[in-house]
Amino acid sequence: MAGSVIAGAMGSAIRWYQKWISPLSPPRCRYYPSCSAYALTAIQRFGAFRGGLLAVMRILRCMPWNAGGIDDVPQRFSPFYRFSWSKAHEEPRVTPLAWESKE
Amino acid sequence: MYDSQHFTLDSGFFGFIYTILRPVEWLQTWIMKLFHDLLVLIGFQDGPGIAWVLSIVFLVLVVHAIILPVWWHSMKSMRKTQAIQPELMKIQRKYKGKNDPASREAMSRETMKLYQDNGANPMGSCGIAIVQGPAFMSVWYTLSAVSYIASGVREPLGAFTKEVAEDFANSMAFGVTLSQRFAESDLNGKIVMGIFIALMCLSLFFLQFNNMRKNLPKASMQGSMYTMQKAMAFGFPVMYIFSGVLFPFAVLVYWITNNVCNLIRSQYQMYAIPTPGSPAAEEKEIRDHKRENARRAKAGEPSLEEEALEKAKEEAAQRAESGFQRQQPSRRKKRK
Repeated sequence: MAGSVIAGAMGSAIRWYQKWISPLSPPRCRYYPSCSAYALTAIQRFGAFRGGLLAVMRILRCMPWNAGGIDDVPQRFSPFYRFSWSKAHEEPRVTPLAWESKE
Repeated sequence: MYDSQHFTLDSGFFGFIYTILRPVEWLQTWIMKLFHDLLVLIGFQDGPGIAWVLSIVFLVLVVHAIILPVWWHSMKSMRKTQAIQPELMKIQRKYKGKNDPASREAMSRETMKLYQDNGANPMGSCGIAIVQGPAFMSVWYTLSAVSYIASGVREPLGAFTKEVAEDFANSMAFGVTLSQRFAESDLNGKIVMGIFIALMCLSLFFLQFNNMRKNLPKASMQGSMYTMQKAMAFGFPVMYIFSGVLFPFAVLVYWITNNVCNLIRSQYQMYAIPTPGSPAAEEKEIRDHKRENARRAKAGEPSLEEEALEKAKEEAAQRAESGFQRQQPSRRKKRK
C-alpha cells in the first residue's frame, strides 16, 4: 500500500506543523476546523490524493474576501461539496458529531 | 556564504521558487525602471544616482499599496467583531468552566457561526501572508540579483539589462553604493550600513514590543504564549543583525522602508481599533471621552460628568421624596 504510506507521511507532517510551527503565531484561521485539522481529517478519510486536493482547495479559499465560518470535511468525497447543488453538500453543523473522535 | 562568481539564490530549492516568481520579479524591475525614468524626467541625474535609491523606496510603497485594501478589509471586519462582542460574551459564559474537548469544539463552532452570520471575521487569514510572502521575496531576489547582472554572472532580468544594472549597482546614497556589502566596505560604508542595520532592528523591535505591550488584552499578558512572544520580540531583531551584514545595501534600503511602512500601519491600527481589553483600548476610551466633552462644550451642552451628576441628583431627590422602598407596581385592572 504505497498510498497509505504517503498519507501517513503527510499526516505526520501536518501533526509536526501543528505541534511546532502553528503555536508560534496567534490563532488566525477564519474557518472551523482550522486548515491543518481539516487537512488531517480529509487525508485520513479520503487518502493522500483526494484528501490532499480538498486540503489545497481549502487553503486557496482562505482569503480576506471569504466570510469563513464552519467548513467540515464532507462525509462523501466531491470537490464541489461547497455548492448547495452537490450531492455531497452538508449544512454547517453547530453541534459536533458524536461519533467523530477528534480533539 | 557570499560568492561574487555564483548567484546562490538561483540554485537549489529556492532557485526553483524564484523561477516560479519570475513574472513578479520582471514586473518589479519595470516598476523601478519606469519610476526612475520619471524621476530623470523631473530633473534627477541619469545613470548611477539617488534616483535608483528612491525607486527602491517607491517599489516597496507600491507593494504596500497593493496589500492595503486587504488590510483595510480585515480592519473593517475587526470592527464588526467588536460590535458583536456581547453575543460573544454570551457564548463564553455558556461554556464557562467546561474544558472537555466536546464543549471546546461546540464553543468554537458556535463562535464561528456567529462570525459567519454577521459577516465578521477577526482572523487576518493566512491568505494575506500567502500573497505578501512571494511579493516581498521577489523584491529581495531582484535587489540581490542586480549586482550579479551588472558583473555579467547572471543573465539580464526584465528591465535590468547589463547597463541598467551597472547604473543601479553604482548608485550612491550616503557614500555607499547599492551593491556594497558590509564585509567589503571601508570604514565610512561600515558606519553607514551599521546605522541602517541598527535602525532596522530598532524599528522592528519597537513594532513588536509596542504591539505586545499595548495591543494585547491584559488577561493574555501571562503564560507560556506570552513568554514565547516576548522571546520573539527580542530574538527577531537580533537575527536581523546577522542577516543584515550579509546583504547588499539595496536590500537594507528596502528593509528599512518596509519596516517603517509596517510601523505606521500598526500604529494606526492601535490608534483606531485597538484590541478590546488592551491598554491601547483604555487610552482610546479616555481619548473618546475627552473628544465628546470637547464637542459638547462647543455645542453648549453639559459635559458627560455634569450630565451624570445631574442624573444622580435627580435620583437622590426622587429617593428623598419617596423613600428607599421600591414602589410595588400597582395591579392593572383585568380587561374583560
